Amino acid sequence: MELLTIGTIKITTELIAILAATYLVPWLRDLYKKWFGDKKKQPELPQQARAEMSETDKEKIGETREIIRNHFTDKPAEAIGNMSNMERVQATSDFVKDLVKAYDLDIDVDVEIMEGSMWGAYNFETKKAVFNVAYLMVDKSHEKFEYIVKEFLDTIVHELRHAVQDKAINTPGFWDISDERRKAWADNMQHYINPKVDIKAYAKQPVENDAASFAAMALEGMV
Amino acid sequence: MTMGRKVRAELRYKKFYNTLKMSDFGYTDEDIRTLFRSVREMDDESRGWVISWINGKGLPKATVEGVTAKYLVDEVKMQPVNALIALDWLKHEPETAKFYILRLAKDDSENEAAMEKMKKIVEELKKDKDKRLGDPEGENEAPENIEEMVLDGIVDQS
Repeated sequence: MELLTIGTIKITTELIAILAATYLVPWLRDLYKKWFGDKKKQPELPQQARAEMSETDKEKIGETREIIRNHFTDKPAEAIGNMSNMERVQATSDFVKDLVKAYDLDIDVDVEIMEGSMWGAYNFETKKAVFNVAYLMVDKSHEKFEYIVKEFLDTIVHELRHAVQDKAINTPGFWDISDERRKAWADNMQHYINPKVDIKAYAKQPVENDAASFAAMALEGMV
Repeated sequence: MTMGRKVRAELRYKKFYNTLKMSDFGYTDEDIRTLFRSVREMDDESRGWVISWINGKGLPKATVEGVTAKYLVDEVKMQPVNALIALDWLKHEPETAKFYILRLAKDDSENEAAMEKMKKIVEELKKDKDKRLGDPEGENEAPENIEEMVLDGIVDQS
């Protein structure tokens, strides 16, 4: 995994933290305030909107929660808030490495400070996941720090679940995923719906509903 | 006060298709089919909003869960039909819709100037990293671990 050199990180992550706090999270101010006011409530994927998880999925969700605890304790926002920027980058890299191993994935991963607004992504063609740690450089005193931490960890689990879907499509029996689900995911990837086209159809398509549900259950009550 | 008269209107796929195809968004044929299916699943009022917009009457002024279609277009950067789909969704599954709309808002840059600044910082960062490694072209990466380095030299055979 690509990491930046220590001396460079000390200077630039401070600058990026200032930028991130000032510019990269203004979207939170307005829409979040409209729907959640000043409460600390985190937006959650409602139970009724979640996809069914198999017994193996539930075991993996349990493992994921254990790995989160191992790296970030039961209170990840507090733990990450007390880390330096360099420590946050390292901790994220180590966390992602452990998840990739636990999920039995053969993929490339980049954890780095990236330009642009993307939080993270998995590419089904290149078999590569990327995660933008810039968002984690925000100071712990920021009013939405807990939300940012939760969303970042959720992004990691969500995108690695896409990697699981990808491997399952090509590997019968992986994670005991049924042929029916494998086919639904394979068909979906032939007709993938972008959220910028149709946000509701995006959310309800099999690969996204499954990934969002898996991540929601893994992070539930954790931050 | 004069109340507007509500009448049932129809919209053929062909007009829906042509309007969206001519927009700047770059919809594929499959995108348009997806959108048409979603619009068909909306309630009467929401479908009416789409029909009115397609017929050039603009976006509805209705507020759902504190947001209007205009807000979703201007601030969350949604295309109009997607905004109307979101508004209909907020009516029927508000908590699920809010979860996903916040996610969509999160992935959009609101400040191009800030993004440009970020890009410059990352470029400087990469140049600085290359400078530190003594490789201005940035093509050769220094070994990560000194213990993996190998020395060679000329030695006496004795």
